[in-house]
Amino acid sequence: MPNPTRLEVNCTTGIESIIEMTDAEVAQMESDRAAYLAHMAEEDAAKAAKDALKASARAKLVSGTPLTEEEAATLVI
Amino acid sequence: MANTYYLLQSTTVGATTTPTIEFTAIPSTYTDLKLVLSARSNYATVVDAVNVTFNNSTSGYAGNFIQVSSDNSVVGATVGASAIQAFMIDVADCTANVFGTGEMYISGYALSTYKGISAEGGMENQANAPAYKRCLSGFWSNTAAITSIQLSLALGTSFVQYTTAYLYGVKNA
Repeated sequence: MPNPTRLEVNCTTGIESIIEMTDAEVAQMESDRAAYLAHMAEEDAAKAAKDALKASARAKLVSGTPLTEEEAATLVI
Repeated sequence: MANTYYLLQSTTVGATTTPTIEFTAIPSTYTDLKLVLSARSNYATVVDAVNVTFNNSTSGYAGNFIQVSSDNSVVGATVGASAIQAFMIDVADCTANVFGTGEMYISGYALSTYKGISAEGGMENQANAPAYKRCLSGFWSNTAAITSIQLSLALGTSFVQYTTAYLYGVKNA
């Protein structure tokens, strides 16, 4: 199966070329993609943890239960 | 202050889709560059991002962005050192035929100084997920003149057909 192609536009000549990517370019692209997916998963987990902490703080505030320092920090700017 | 725009080249992705769009042989005769993009990725869900690099370099990028989404979250973050992740764009589960948009301004691209960059862009996903808008400022810590610009996807394997990219040279006189 051939590698994906990249679209190259020469700004001096105006010539457009469709060029098959090298194995190294494809490997780099796949590595970058995996790294970005991992980064996104970390961000999602951090956001979920923060949201859970906020929800817990809000519930305790409403019920009059003491907040942990971590929960209180989510309510203070 | 820049006052004249020249279209250097534009391109539209055809039936042969591509994961990378590259402008090469950029002449050094302008003051600044402006890149304008209308793009959609074949990635399946939510959102994709466009990485921008210069001269095929994967180092020396720095900057910060603020990203606002329609679920009321605001995120500030730094860009990675290996590319400027400039634009959030539409993907396969977004409203059909809607493309994300973005613009990037590159100052002093042909000078032997670091290159200042600002960018903004946005996308929508009314069908399945929030919309995102990102505003970014940064620089490329490289003193070489920029002679090529690469646009690639963070997640997808192809820019879809009818994705367009325009590169303008800007002159200050």
